[in-house]
This record gives sequence, C-alpha cells and structure tokens, in this order.
Amino acid sequence: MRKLIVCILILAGSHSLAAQSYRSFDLDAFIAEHPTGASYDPITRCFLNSTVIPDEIASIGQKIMEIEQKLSDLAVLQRANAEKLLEAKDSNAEADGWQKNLVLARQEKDLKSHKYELLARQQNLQQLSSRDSGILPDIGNLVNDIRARFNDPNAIYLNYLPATETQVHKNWLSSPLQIYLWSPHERYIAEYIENSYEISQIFPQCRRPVVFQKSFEREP
Amino acid sequence: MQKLQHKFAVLITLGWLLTCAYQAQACSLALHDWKRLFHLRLPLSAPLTPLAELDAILDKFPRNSLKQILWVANHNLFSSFSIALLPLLPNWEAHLPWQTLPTTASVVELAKGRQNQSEIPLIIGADQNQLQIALFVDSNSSNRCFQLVLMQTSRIRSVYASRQTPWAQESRGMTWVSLVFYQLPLPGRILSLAVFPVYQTRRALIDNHEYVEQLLAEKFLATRPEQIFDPYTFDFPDLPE
Repeated sequence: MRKLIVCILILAGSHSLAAQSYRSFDLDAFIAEHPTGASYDPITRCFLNSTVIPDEIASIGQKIMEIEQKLSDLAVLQRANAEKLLEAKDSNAEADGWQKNLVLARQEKDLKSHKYELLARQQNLQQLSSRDSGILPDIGNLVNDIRARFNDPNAIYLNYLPATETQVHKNWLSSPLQIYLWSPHERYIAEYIENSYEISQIFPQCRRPVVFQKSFEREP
Repeated sequence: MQKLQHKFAVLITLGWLLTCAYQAQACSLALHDWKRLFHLRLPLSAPLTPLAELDAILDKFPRNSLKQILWVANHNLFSSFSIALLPLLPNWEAHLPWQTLPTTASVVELAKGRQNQSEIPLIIGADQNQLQIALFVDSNSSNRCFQLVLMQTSRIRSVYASRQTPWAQESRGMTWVSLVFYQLPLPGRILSLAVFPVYQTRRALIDNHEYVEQLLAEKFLATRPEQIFDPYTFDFPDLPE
C-alpha cells in the first residue's frame, strides 16, 4: 500500500515534466519539396519562376495610377474652388474659399507624398530584382510557410533548422542546443528556445546567411 | 525709431556673442549637436526675398504660360531690391517680369480687377511676415562651431484669375539662410553657407570641405561615423513656434 502511494506521488510529480511535447520537423525535406525552395537555382542565385517582385512592382504601379487619378479629380475640385473664390462677394466668402483651399491643398500634399513613397519603393524593388537580395521576399514567404506548419503553439519543434552533420565532442559543447542533444534535459532546450537565434545558410549559394529570430514577427 | 533701436540692440548682442565665442574655443560640419544659444523673432512688413513665393508656384504652371507676376506686400527697400536678384535663379518663373505692388486690397480683389486684361498676371501676396534670427552652438565641438540662421516665414496667397483655368493656393512660405562657421564668421573660418529653398531644396553657396577636414584632423570637430547618414544633418533644430 505504501509503495502504491509512493508510486502515485511520483507520477503526480512527474506530470508537469511530461506536459511539454516535442515534435520533430524535417526542414531539409520541407524546403526540398516546397515549390519555392525546389525552384532555387544556385547558378543564377534566384528562384526560378518567382513572381514576388514583379507582382509587387505591378501592384505598386496600380496604386500609383489610382493616386494619379485621385490627384486629377482633386485638381478639378481645386479649379472649382478657385473659380468660387474669384466670385466671392465679401470677405467672409473669401475666407471660406481659402479655408477650403487649404483643405484641398493638404489632401494634395498627402496624395503626392504617398505617390513619391510608392515611386521610391517601386524603384527600390526594381533595383532589388537584379541583386542577390532579390530572393529575400521569396525566402520570407517560404519562412511563413514553414512557420505555418508549426501548428502546436506549446510544442517544441526539434530540427527546426537543418541538423548539422558535424559531431561535436562533449568538451566542445557550446550552445544549450548542443548540450541538450548530448544530455536531453528540458531546461537546456527551454534555455535554447528562449535565447537562440535560428541562423542558417539555408541556401549555400547565398552570399549572406539568412537570419531570423523565432520570436520575431515581421510587420505585415 | 524704436524699431531701429531694437535692431541695433540685436546686432550688438550678436556681436557680443560672437566675441565671447572666440574667447571660448573652436568648431565644424561633421557630426553636430546643435544647441540654441539665441533666438529672436521680428515682424516684417514684407519678405526680404521672394524665394518662398517662387517655391510656392514651382511646377504649378506649364512652362512660359505666365507673362507677368505681381508681388503684393507692404514692400520695403529690401523687398523691392531683392527682385533684382531673381534672374540669378534657374527657375523659368524667376525670369518673368516681377512687379511689386503695395497691399491695397486682398489678392482675390486685385486678381478680379485684372481678369479682363489680355495677359492675366499671376498675383502673389505675402503677409504675416516674420524674421527669426537664431544662433546655435555645436556641443560636439566643445562649443567651437556655430550656426547662424536667418529664417523668414510668411503666409503666401497666390491667385491666377484665368477664366479657363482659374487657380488659387494658400501656403506657408519659409526661407532661410544658414551660416556655419568656426569661432568667427570671417572668410576662411566659414564651413558652409546655405540657402533654402532653391528648387525646393537647400542649396550650398559655400561648402569648405578642406577646412572641415583640417578641423577634423585636429580633433576640433566630432567625426561623423560613416553609418550615420542623415540628409538633414546640415540643417538646424526646429525654431520655437
């Protein structure tokens, strides 16, 4: 009977430890099978058939056209306001006209400032498309797809990054992850999750490593 | 008379400040940390230059579509003579005949009166004019570098009373001249002299890079780290409202 009570107590105590679930995830395979990842061409350093940048440039172009239409509509209103101002019979009507003029001018300024912002973004994207960093938007989408696969918010996903093939000797253990792999205690992996940045050269032909922090959520 | 005395007092104060500055220590461009030492606001009857007026109408009309510009304000000697400098500017609007007119009525009334002329002039009125004088010191250079700013602000109302394409616009005009110097505003000690606005941007009339480099080498100025690049580095902090 005493043994039974001790056993129950041990099981009750170990319940909190067992609560943490661990899942495995094969990132290598995911990237290899993903339509974007699979289309990476190491020679040209870009994703073949990627339409992210051209699509965004086209979308910005569309927005610029819409702003130009709004500016043209605004110009009609401004002309009408000027006409009314010139027909003002007294100083009150004149003051009203100038007040309206200021409101319209503010709208024009805002629209123009937005237009210049979009033009600058469009120009940046056009320049980006001819550089290595042009693949970053595609990588961003790929990373979002990877994140979407982690559907259990409480689980710790192992093999979040491609596993290194290098065998690390015990004496050279330097990170909590490596320590965890050597000695799988929950506190090591928790420390790793809290502090680590996931850094990997997912695409070896990239000049710079792709870096992101798991806890960091990019602004839309 | 009282105004003249006031202006004279301002000049003496400025001179005194500059003399004290010499006794303090030296300055430069580089990475500045401007602290305001002195600020004065003076009402003006008319703008000292029509740069802000020119800026307000920049690209508003098709090239050569205007034949004349009437500049309406309570003009003084400065404003009347300043239009003589307009041909030095690159804008086509600056090369039109500018005529100064006293403020006898609102710009709208003046425009209405000229609506039947064969060549309708563009009327630009400037009122609520102010001149601000400010002296900044660069604390990054142990108070050796100074920036003297003369800023003129005004309300600009422009009217083009064409029957086909009437146009009116109200805007706040701002013109400034900035002189950055080391210890004293003397030739050889001037780091930069800039004017705003010329084509809506700051235009440097003097940019003495060699002198700046010399002062940087002697560590009289703080070197701007390469990664800190701000296109407004050369400007000054906002003046009080």
